Amino acid sequence: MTFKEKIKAGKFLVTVEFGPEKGTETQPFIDIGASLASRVDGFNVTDLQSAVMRLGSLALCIKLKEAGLEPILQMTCRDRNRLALQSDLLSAAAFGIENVLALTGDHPMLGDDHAAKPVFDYDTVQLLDAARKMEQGQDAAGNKLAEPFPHFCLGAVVNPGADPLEPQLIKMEKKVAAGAEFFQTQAVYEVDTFEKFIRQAEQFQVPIMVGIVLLKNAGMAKYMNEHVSGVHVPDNYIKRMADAPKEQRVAESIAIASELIGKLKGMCRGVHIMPIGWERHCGKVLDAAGL
Amino acid sequence: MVVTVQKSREEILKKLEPFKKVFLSGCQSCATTCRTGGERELKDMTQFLTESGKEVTGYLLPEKGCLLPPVKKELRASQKAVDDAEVILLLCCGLGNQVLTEITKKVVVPGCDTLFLGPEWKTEISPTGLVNTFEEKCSLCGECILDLMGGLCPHTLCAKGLLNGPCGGTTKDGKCEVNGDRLCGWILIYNRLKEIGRLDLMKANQPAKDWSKKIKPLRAKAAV
Repeated sequence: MTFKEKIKAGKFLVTVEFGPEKGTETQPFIDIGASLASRVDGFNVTDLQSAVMRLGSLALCIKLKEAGLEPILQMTCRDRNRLALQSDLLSAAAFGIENVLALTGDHPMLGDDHAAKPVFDYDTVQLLDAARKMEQGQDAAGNKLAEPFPHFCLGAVVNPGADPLEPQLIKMEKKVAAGAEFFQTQAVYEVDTFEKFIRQAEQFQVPIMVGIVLLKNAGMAKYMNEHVSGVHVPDNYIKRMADAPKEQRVAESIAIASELIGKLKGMCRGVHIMPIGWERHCGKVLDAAGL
Repeated sequence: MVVTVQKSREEILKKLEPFKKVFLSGCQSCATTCRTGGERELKDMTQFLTESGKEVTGYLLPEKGCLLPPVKKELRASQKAVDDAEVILLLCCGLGNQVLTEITKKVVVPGCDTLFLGPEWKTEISPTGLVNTFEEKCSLCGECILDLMGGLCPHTLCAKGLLNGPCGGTTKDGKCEVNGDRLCGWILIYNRLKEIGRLDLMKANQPAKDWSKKIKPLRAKAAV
């Protein structure tokens, strides 16, 4: 079953995020992907995450696809104008990659080369709209595409912890109208915040997968509280990570993630695990969460 | 107002390194308000360049440095000083620079960087006196949609120029994560639309900008 078929079938979805390195190595991701394949429905590949130049999302997606895995191509609007975005959508389709997650993308000022030109010719709503038009055989300018037309399973993101939340919800509704079939959220650590969000997002009747970021240590949690918009790690998780001896940190992180999944999974359609370098521990997270 | 900032003295000297005789030009409009190229700055620069071993042959302070015909007329009165100089150092925006490029055969050196188009927004008291603050408000996009955005420009106020709502990078105090001392443009737009009871405008899909309206260099005409 493809990711799209699983969405339609109402299956509880599990996705794992892979972040390519600043280099050409892909094999570790393929190996980890293969080890998780029976329990994971899709592997997101980030697109120059944190605005840091790295191996491209499409390249690793192709490698995963060739290895028989189900990739989800992340596409940000930061680095490509509308011609390049649409061309990459066609390229993905030519390799049989139909899952696409549309994101705005971090600004280059948050990355490691501040002098880079921010593009943002399209925003996510416009990108989703263009992808849907291509399925109908037209590019964004209304020019005809040659058959066969591409087919996509389009996703988007939302930040449940945003305050105020209403602007996020307004944009989410626009993304649904533009064609988003599933949502993956920013990292969630507070059950109440997520519940409040879900109650308001239910009206859009679109599958939402809750974002789980593995905590590596207390410092990372504090950093996210300071610098990552809409993310708040409660003090008790920070304390647990701080109190855990170094050799116990992975286990504590897995315990926190699985507890969160346990509390959140009943409210939504799936979990999206963002291991940020701890891809090798994803299997244990799924074990602990009973997924 | 075209907002400028003076280049560092070090950079100006480096650009003027091959030259001895310098003619200066400023502007009584924007560059005077920005304190980058008014009477005071031209005198300061004259003193600095003289102390640095240059010879300042004279200076021009046009009413508006970006109006070519009157600047051309005004420059005639200083023709000898211009002819005597090897280079013209401009303390004004890029427009003033290129007006002088057009009407003289001299090497034109910018003494300022041209930053943005924005109004003088407020005047604040600082320990050294009053300080004017300028804020970027218009990106000269060529297809104004202010009426759809509560009168606030998303091209300019959003660091990413997004047209359909905020990204996920708004901090909890409503700031933009790209630059912590600026408010998120989309929170400003949202608050304004909410205040005037027009959130429906934010819910409407905004198409991507038509860049064919900005094929450079643009020209315009106005009947006199």
